Amino acid sequence: MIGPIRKNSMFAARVTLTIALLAISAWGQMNNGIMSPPANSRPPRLENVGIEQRLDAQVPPDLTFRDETGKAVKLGDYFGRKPMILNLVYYNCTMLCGEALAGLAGAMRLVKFDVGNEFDVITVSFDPRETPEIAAAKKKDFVGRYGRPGAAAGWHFLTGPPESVNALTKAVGFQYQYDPKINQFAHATAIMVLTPQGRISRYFYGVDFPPKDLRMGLVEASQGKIGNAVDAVLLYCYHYNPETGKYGAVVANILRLGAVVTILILGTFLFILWRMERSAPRRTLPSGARAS
Amino acid sequence: MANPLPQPVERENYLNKEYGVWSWLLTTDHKRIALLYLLSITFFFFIGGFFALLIRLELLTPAGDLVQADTYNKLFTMHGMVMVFFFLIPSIPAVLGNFLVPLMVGAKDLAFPRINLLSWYLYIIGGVMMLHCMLTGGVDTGWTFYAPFSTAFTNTKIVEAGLAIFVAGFSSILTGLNFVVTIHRMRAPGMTWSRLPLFIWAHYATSIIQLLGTPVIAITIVLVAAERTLHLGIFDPKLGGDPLLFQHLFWFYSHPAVYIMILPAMGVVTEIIACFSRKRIFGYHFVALSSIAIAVFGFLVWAHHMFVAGISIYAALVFSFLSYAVAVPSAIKVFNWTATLYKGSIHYDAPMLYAFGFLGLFTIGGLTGLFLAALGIDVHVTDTYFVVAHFHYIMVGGAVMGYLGGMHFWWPKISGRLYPEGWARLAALIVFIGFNLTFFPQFILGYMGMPRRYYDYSHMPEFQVLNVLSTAGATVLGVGYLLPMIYFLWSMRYGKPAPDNPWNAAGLEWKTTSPPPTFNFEEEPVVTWEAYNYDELDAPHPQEVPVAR
Repeated sequence: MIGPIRKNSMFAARVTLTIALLAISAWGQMNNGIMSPPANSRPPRLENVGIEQRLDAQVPPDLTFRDETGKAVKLGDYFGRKPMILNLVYYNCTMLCGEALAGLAGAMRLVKFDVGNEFDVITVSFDPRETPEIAAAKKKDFVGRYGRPGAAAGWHFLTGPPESVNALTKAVGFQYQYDPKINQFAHATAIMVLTPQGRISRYFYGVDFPPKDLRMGLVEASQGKIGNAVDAVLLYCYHYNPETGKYGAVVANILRLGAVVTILILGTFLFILWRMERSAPRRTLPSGARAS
Repeated sequence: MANPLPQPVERENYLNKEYGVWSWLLTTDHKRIALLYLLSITFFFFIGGFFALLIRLELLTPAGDLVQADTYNKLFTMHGMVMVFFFLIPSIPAVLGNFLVPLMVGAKDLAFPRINLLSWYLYIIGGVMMLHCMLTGGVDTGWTFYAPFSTAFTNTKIVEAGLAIFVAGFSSILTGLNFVVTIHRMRAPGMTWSRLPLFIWAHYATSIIQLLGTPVIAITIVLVAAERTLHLGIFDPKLGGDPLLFQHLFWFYSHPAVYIMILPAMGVVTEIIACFSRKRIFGYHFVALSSIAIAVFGFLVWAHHMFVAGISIYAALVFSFLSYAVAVPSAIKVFNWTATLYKGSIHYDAPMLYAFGFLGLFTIGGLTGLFLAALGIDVHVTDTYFVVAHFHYIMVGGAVMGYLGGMHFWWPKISGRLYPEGWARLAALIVFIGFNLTFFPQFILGYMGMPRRYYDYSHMPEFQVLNVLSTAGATVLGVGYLLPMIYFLWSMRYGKPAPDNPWNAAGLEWKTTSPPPTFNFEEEPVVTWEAYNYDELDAPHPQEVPVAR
C-alpha cells in the first residue's frame, strides 16, 4: 500500500507546483501591468531584431562571398594585415543602410587614417538575393564620397549565399528579420571594428559615428600597429563603454595620470632640495661640533 | 653677520616697529601673518562653535523641536566645513607654525614671505566666500559632499562652498611649500636635521601631506562642480559616473587631513612635555621618523571610511590592516612621551595640563580608531555617534588641546606678556572636563545605535539622558574655550611683561627677545647643541632656579 500513497503525494506535489507556478506567472503579469512603467515591448515583427554584442568573438574566416567584381573570396583573405571595419547592410535598402554607409564614409573622412592603408572596410550584404553588380554600383558611389586615393583597394563590397550570410550574422550577433509585406528587412545598424586577426573589438551603433571614437577604436583594435604614442595615451584616458557603445573619458584614468604627475613633481622637488643641501652645506656646521 | 637693524635704546620688536592697518595688511613678517591667521581662525572657530551649540541644543530633547530638519542638516554641514577647513587645518600650522618655524630653525623669515602673505589672503577670500555661502542658504550634504546627492539632488549652495574650500586649499598648499623650503634651506649654521626641534619635524611631515593631498580635494571639488553644472558623468551613475570614485577621492585627501591636524599638535606636545619634564625627549629619532611614517602611511588608509560602501572584501581587508599599521607610529609617540615623563621633574603649568589632556584624549581617540578599523565592528557603528565621538577625540581632544597648549606655551613669546597662570590652569581643567562630558556619552550613544546626522530621536527616548549630558558638557566646554580668549586679550594690556625665556626652555625661539624683533635674531644664531638639552640647561647654573615658574 505504500506505492499508491507515494504516487498520490507525487501527484499532489505536481499540482501544487503547477498552481504555484501559475500564481507566480500571474503575479508577474499583474506586476507587469500595474507596477511597471509603460510597456516597452516591441511589436512582434521587431522582436528578433537587434544587436547582441559578441566582443572578442572570431569572425569565421572560411565563409565564402563574392566581391564587387564577382570574384569568389573568403573572409579570411582580408585578415592578418590590419584592423578592419565590418558593416552589414543590404544595398537595396531604402532606409537605414544608405544612411549608415554615408555616415561611415563621412566619419572616415575625418579620421586621419586612410582606408586601404592603415585599415580596411568590409561591407557585406545580408540579402542573399543581391548581386556583385549592385555591390559594384554602391562601391563606386561610396568610395567616391570618401574621396581618398587608394580606398578602392581597401573597401570591399561583398555579397554571398544564404549560408554564408547566416553564419556571419550569427557570429557577430546581428539579428534581422525579413518583412515580406514591404519586401524589406527589419534590422539595426552598427559597425564593428575587427582586429587584424578578425576578432570583434568594438561595436558602434547608429548611422553617425564620432570620428574620435572611431579612431580610438581602430587604434585599440590594431594592438599598437597604427597610431602614435599620443594615441596610446589618449586611448588610456578614453575607454569604451559597452552600454553606450561610445568612448568616454575615464575620469579615474585621468586622475591616475594626474596623481603620477603630482608625485613625480613633489618627489623631484624634495629630491632637489635634499641634493642642494648635500652639495652646499655652508649654512650648517659639522654635526660633531659641540660646545658649552 | 646679518644684522641690518639699527638698535634704539628702547627695545624694538615686531609688534611696535610699525603701526596702522596697512602695516599689518601688507606685512611680510611671518610673525605678523601668524597673528592675522590667529584672528581669522578664532573668528571661524566661534562661528563653527555657534553651529555646534545649536546642534547640541536641538539634541537636548528627543523631538525635533528647535530647528527644522533642513536647518539641522545645514547646521552640522556648516559646522563640519568651517571647523575642518577654516579652523583645524590652518590652526597650528598657520598660527604657531608660521610664528615658530623660522624662529626655531634660526631664520629671519620664511623662505617666501610674500607667498606667505598671499596664502593668508587666499584663506580670507575662501573664508568670505564660505561666509557668503552660509548667509545665503548654506549647504546640507554634510561636510563630506557625497555624490550623487551633492551633484544631482540637493539644491543648496554646493558650488560656492566647494569653491571656498578650493581657494582655502591653495592657502594650505602654499603654507606647506613655504615650510618645506624653509626647513631645507634656511636653517642656522649648526642646525642639523638631528638637532631640529620635533615641532619642526612634525611640520615638515604635515607640509608634505598638504602638498600631496590638498590638490586631490581641489580636483574633486572641481569635478563635483563640473558634474553639477555641466552634467558631465563623473560620479552620478545615471550619467555613467561612479559614486565610489567620489568617496575614494574625497577620503584620499580627507583622511590625511586628520594628520594635517594631529601631527602639528603632536609636535607642540613634544616641546611642552620635554620642557615641563626638564628632560631630553626619549627616542628623538623615533619620534621624528614616526611623523614621517604617519605622513606616508596616512595616505594608504583612506578606504576604511568606505567599508560599508561596497568596496571589495579584499580591498577592505588590506585597508583594515593598513589602518592598524598606521596606529604603530602614533603609539611610538605616545610611548616615547610617557617614557620622557618617567623620572622627569614634572611641572604642572597650564601648557603641561593641556599636554596631559592631549595624551589621554588622543589615546582614547586613537584606540577607538582601531575599533573602527576592524571590519566587523565598523559595520555595527558606521554612521553612528561612535564615529562622531571618535573623530572629535582626535580632532578636538587631540588637535585643539595641542593648539591651546601651544598657545599658552608660546604666548609670552608671541605677545611679550605673561598670561594669568591660575586662570589658565582652571581653564585647562574646565576644557578637559567639558570635553569628556560632551563626547564620552556619544561613544555609548553610538554603540547603542544612535545614528549621526539625525535631528529627531523621539522613537528612542532612552537616548535623552546621554544627550543631555553631552549638551551640558558642550556648555562647559564653551566656557573653557571662552576663558583663554578673555585672559589672553586681558594679558595683552595688563599682563606682566614676559622675560625672554619664562619657562627656561630649550629651543632657539627662547634665545631671542620676547616679543622677537622683526628679523627674529640680533645676530645669526650658531647651534652647537642638541634639541632638548635640558640637563645642560638646568645643571651648571646654580644662580638660576631651574623651574619654569
